[in-house]
Amino acid sequence: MSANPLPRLSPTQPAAFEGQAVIVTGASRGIGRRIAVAFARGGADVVLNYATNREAAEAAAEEVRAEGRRCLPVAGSVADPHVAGALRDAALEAFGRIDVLVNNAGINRDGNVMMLRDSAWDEVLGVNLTGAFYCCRAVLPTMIAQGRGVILNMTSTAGLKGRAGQVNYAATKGALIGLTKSLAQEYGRHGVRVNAIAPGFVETDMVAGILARPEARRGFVEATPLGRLGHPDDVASAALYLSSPDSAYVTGHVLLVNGGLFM
Amino acid sequence: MAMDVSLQGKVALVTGGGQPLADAVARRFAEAGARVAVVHLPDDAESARRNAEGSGAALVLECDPGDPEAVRVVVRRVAAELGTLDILVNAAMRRAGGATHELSDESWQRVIAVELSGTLYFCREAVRPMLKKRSGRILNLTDVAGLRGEAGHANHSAARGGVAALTRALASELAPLGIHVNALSVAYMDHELSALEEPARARLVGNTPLGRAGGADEVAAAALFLASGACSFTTGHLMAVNGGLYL
Repeated sequence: MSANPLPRLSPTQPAAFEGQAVIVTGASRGIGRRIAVAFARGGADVVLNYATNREAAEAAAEEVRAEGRRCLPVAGSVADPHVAGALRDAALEAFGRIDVLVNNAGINRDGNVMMLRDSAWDEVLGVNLTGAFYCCRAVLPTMIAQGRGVILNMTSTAGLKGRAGQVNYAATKGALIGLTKSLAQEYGRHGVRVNAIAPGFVETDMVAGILARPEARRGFVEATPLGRLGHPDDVASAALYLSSPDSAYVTGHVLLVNGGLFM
Repeated sequence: MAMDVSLQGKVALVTGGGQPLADAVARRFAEAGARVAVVHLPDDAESARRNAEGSGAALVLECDPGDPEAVRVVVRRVAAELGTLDILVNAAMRRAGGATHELSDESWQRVIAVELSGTLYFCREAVRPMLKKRSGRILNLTDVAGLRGEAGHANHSAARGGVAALTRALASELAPLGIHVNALSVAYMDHELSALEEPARARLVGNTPLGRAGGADEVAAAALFLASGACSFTTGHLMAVNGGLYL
């Protein structure tokens, strides 16, 4: 069991994101959903992107609205070049600004490299990497015009040290780190900060299949020095920190939220 | 911030009192509800006492971090007087640069003693009360010099590189015991930048993507995040607060 209580997203804290507008991709479930809710709790309105699962997206949007904030679900895979523009336009039309973009949308198509289909490679690159690039490119003119903005990219322990059976996923997550650091250098002077979060094993639908096997779950817990799996809220509070004025001097950084799995 | 950054009921010990970074951390922690003991180097007694008045520190104590016996005494005194110890911030700095072929033994040993050995001595002693509760947070200070080296500062670079490795080693060792160990990885701060001459100052600012030096308050904000319940699943991490200077 965990020796560390999960973070309490405290409603008693002042709302640091009051009046702000946040775009979260891949936010119908898992980490993205908790990030969307956390921002709403902090006072922000949310454009909530999802690929196909409308039912889950509506439920997530209701959870955001329950925090007293506006939420606009927008369907479409970020791999589709038109979706990034649609997300930007939705935020600008509904909220008139874009303060934070969270490139969270991610998929995996794991497999031994010799057996990996072209489609498994292309799909993962399309969503995880190219989709993030499209979204950055779409919102940057707005952020530059505002003179401020925050971009967060969701990378992974796999992007830092690789993982057998995940060449495609790991390649995209490593590439996101290069993208993050390059953008940080390119747009720091415009008041735009770009950071990444690298979670470890976090309990989400993406890994539910693996975690259903007790020996695999035990292996993940044992590999993590803090002795538990991550919870989406662990990642959500890191996302809030990196988006708040408290991290005004942090850019190009990869924040590890992995329980010590990789240092 | 819409997350739990309260330190209500916590006891923190911050070293490097009288130096801008440590004083900013002490003030921010006190504002967040912690009872803070500020420990300063003998050289910094005057500024430590002066700044402590505004920071809300509960205790101000002198200690040479390079003296293991003095560290033992001061940590025990803090735990005794404030009831426990939840958070340790090793922020003491002692920079004394110079070309390596001219570096004196004294300068080498002093910087290593304050910044590296002192960090270990404080950690070693502070984990005792933390182990009893199986919970605690340790933050150490490293910087750009420690990660990529800095010409004319072989002593400081070695000390800060050592602190980075020490942080990760302690994180692995103490994670199963409920103690998180992370480092703040800083670059030049505005109070240091003013001491530089042109064109060094302009070059440094030019190399920093955010186009300015950082403030001690900005490092203190990162320290508060790392010490608080909001940072719940991070250990062994070097949290960069450097404006993008070193990525």
